[in-house]
Amino acid sequence: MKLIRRQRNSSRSESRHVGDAVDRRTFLRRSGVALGGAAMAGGLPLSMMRRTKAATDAREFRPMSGVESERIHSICTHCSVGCGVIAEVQNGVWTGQEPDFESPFNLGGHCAKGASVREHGMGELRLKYPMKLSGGKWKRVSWQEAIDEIGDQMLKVREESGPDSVYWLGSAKFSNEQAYLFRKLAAMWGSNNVDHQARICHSTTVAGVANTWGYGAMTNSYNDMHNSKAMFFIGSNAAEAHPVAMQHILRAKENGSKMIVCDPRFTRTAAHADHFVRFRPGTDVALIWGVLWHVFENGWEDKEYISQRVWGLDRVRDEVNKWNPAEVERVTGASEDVVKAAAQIMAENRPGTIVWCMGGTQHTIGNNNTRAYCALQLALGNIGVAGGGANIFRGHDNVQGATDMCVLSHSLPGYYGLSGGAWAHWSRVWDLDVEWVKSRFAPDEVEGDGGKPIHPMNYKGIPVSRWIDGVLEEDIGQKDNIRVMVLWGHAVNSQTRGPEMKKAMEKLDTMVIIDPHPTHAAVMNDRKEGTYLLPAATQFETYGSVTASNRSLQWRDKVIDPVWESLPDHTIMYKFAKKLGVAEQLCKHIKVNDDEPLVEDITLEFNKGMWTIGYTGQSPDRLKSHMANRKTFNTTTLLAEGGPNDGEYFGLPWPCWGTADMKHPGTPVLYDPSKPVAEGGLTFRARFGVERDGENLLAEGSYSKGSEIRDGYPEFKADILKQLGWWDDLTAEEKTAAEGKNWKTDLSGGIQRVAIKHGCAPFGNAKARTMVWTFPDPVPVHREPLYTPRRDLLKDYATYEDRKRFYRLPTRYASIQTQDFSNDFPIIWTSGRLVEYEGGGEEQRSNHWLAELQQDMFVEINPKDANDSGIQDGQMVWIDSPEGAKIKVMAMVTRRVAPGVVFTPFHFGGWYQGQDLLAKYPEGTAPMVRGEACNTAMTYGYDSVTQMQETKTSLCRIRPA
Amino acid sequence: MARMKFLCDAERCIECNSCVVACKNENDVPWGVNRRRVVVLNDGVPGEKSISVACMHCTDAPCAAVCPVDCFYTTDEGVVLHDKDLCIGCGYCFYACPFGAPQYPKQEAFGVRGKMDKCTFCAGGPADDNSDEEFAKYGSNRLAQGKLPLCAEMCSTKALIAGDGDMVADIYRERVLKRGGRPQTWGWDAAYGSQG
Amino acid sequence: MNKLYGLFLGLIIVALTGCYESSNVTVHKPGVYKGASDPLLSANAEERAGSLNQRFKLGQLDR
Repeated sequence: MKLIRRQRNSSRSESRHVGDAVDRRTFLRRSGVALGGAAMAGGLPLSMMRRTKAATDAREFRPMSGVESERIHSICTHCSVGCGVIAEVQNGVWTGQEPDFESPFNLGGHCAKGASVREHGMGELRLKYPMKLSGGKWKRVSWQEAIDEIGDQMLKVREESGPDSVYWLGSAKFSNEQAYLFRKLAAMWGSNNVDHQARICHSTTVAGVANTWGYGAMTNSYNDMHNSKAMFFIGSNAAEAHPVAMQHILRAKENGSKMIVCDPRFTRTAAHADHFVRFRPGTDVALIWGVLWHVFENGWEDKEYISQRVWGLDRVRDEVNKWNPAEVERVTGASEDVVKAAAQIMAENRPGTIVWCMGGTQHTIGNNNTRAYCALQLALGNIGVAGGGANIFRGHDNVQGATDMCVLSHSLPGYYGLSGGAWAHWSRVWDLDVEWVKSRFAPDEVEGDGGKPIHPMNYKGIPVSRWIDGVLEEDIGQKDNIRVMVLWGHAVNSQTRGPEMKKAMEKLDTMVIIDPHPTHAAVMNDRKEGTYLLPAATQFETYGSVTASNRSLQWRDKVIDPVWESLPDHTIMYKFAKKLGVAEQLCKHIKVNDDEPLVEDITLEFNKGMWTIGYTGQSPDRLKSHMANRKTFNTTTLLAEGGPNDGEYFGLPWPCWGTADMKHPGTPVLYDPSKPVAEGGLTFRARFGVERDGENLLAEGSYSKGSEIRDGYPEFKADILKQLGWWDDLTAEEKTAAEGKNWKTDLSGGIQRVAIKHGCAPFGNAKARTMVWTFPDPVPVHREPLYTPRRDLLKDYATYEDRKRFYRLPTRYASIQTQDFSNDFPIIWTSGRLVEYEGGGEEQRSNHWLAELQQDMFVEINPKDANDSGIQDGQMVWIDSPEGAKIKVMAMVTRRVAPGVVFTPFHFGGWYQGQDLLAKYPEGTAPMVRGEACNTAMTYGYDSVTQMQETKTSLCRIRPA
Repeated sequence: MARMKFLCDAERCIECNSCVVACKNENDVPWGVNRRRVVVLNDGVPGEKSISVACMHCTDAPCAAVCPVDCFYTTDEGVVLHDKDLCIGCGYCFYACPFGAPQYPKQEAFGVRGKMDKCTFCAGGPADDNSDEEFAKYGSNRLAQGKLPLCAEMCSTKALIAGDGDMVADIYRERVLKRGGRPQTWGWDAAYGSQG
Repeated sequence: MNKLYGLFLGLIIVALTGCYESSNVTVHKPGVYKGASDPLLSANAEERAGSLNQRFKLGQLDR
């Protein structure tokens, strides 16, 4: 160890100058020498950490000659591309991985994470059995003991403080079935305090996009990008976050597509672009309006498309007029020629697609950003065409599915919301009395967001980004603070304000962590009692459906049995339900074998209720057939050419209308009127009424191919079918079910079937809207981040007023922005992903193949800032936050970031404000690589519609440690 | 007769390290040993390029030429392999190799300490094909199973191609033609002077 | 003059002798492999080539 340190120091003094730029691999190699040593010093020699269950030999996981191998197909559990995984299993041990050439998504390819998933089956650093913290020590307990003790605590808190004092934080790592069951469990418990990762990654997308044209999901697919003539990336680093997507993107480029990357960093994605636009973090609206300014100025907009299919663009034009090139440069830093070139590439190469990720969403004005992106695409006529679209790359493997199942504090599955009608609909699907469901909630109305009284059943719960405020804030919209926190498959290091989080954790009565690993949450606080760790199985140890970013559902088969004492999530949910006395209601129509609810029964149950977004046609049988015949699907169109699924799209991308018997093929491109609805065509959804300010909101002269209504029309209801004379197309049974219902609530699917039979979209045919009159900023405007270095811009672009109650919590805006931190904290701080890690990084930092490749938490800093602060490459530095937190990380001096901007990855954990927390992990479960969680020092700031945290732009100071 | 070759298409390589991990997964390569690495030029600035590098299985292999104990041999497909029982771990091949492919595990790895280890093109070594002994010493033997190296088969963007050199060349030629024969990357002109 | 010319020529010859390099480069030939035999070598590589080419088309093309 000492020898290694000396080497590093001497090599620096010999040849390195302060502020030298360095490439990332050299940086890693250098730091790696020391940290390989640290891992060893940490008592983790690899050969000693092997699973001891069956044998102690490392060879246990090697393929054995002469032993039959079983090939099992699953889906990667890392990002949302949905790469097929082929596992080779010998005698129940996962011994090999093969490329899945047949998958139309990855064609065999994997990134570093996908190539490493076999490690899940080794599980050397997994949490091995239930544990609880007692007297500051981790103690092994049985499952029964753990569930009983936690359940008793929950019931006690329920008695004293009401059901809202237990928080159910779920996960994008759940399968669809588990996500649905989890949301249902929270409903049975009687609280809307339930949420998951979508809140903190793409909630502003879902809100912004769904309010523009109907649905909040990626409109096209990764594969469809082969058809793009231009690709506009903003706040997306696909090369690191969605590496296999790059296969399709680079194929598009070889087909002649132009690639534009707008980002504050020169990312690895930018390294492949034709055109790069660097801009200041948090100025997306200004940049997009700057691009649109050139579009309007040169008359590049698609006038016919706009008149037929877009409402409110003239209001956008009024705002865009303010964003002349000089103003754009003043705010964003991007010069006229660079912005104009981007506009021109998009105008001259149609169809073009736009791709965005968390660089765009994680801002106080995230919902403005996402709507601005939509407006640009609508102006260019790029939505609803192959090769166009808003290709919003989701993050986790099933964050799309978990969002659709609405593991969210503001909605029931299928985005039905929380209204009385929504509860009535789902109670019917569950075959439960809605009054019983209501009786599970706190009985008394509380003061809601607008100051009006509201029943807790209908009141949006506390979002995950703010759960700590649900524990700490005094005046909140529920009876009492959160007292029991269930962190289920969720990394707390993805949430901001570390010191306050620590305080909140220490205030909780009970903290339950359910995960394959102990996670940062287990170690970052100084609790002595009442923390429970329950080992969850990974998705390779169970089975079920998963929704990729492009809305395709895939079916995973079980690769191996759960390792150690871990259990599948849905089994754990059932155990809790049993303890809490709601098992009978939770699984009324779901078969349960030995505490494990039958996965297929859960799929069939949500098939019965998810009419809004067409999760009704994807029965387990159909999905399994798609998996078995995946090689028959075209890799560009995703259409099966021949074979048993001929004419269907891979994974039945939602909406897959009607019942499974209707055999809808799925919708590969949303809002594409060039195909009949029965073959995957669509119109824009009529979601916002039929007129506004005396103007027609329905489509004019645009309709999907084969539509019998050759103009716009509202959403379908029983009455409309009668008016159209289509009522008698329903069967007698369907008529009974459909009477008084609409396309969303008719459980027979008859209304959808008949609408589609006549070539119509069940949800109507309207215009997209670029002005959302229900949002704080109806037309997207630029507002400076809460922590901005540009005090000179506040006169024109100040943030919102503080709010007394917003998702049950007081929420601050102006009271923070009016304080000037820019002198003491002059550097803009942004964060993002690394290819080797994902999310909180617990799984990957515990995986020796991946951990070896990224051994240090680091900060990218420009040579100029490094020289100004006397920082040299590879040196440890402190990052100080204006809210008083600090983190200690390694400096990486690079021109990848501009002067005045620093970047940190967000996957690290296991350190807290300079301290390695190794000793606090249960024995044998500490990740090989630990480091500061950047969000420990990330600051306050939440989106004005969804409470998305502002993690893509804050302020900091950097000094040598 | 096919001659096996690797080719890494720098226009497609995104430095995702899947090749590195696939190699480790398939061959059970221990921490600290890298049969394959991703090398980056111009990291973080215009003109950034990366390629994945391992043993190139040279036709006239310098490692074999300098080896004092003559432990190298070339298979019919042109894969350069070596016998670890014979290897003395002297490091002379490390001097000779233009790609830095040979590795010398510090700890016990592949059942032997200090002997040279390198990419085998997933073709094992001089032991019974796919025997436990071969796996322990050299890793997987995919070639004997009719499969190609896993690093290339799992490449996220099909940048890394492995197989018969002629077929590899066909794929690459087609891509180059589609791209108009020059790098497509932003800033390439700025970094290396404008071109025609 | 002739003498001087001769001397000059001589000097040039002497000077140029320093630039001479034998074209007989010693090529270091690899020795004969002395290790254990690899069964992969005795297997029919021609036959294997067919299946490897098949595999190549399966996995390395864009499809």
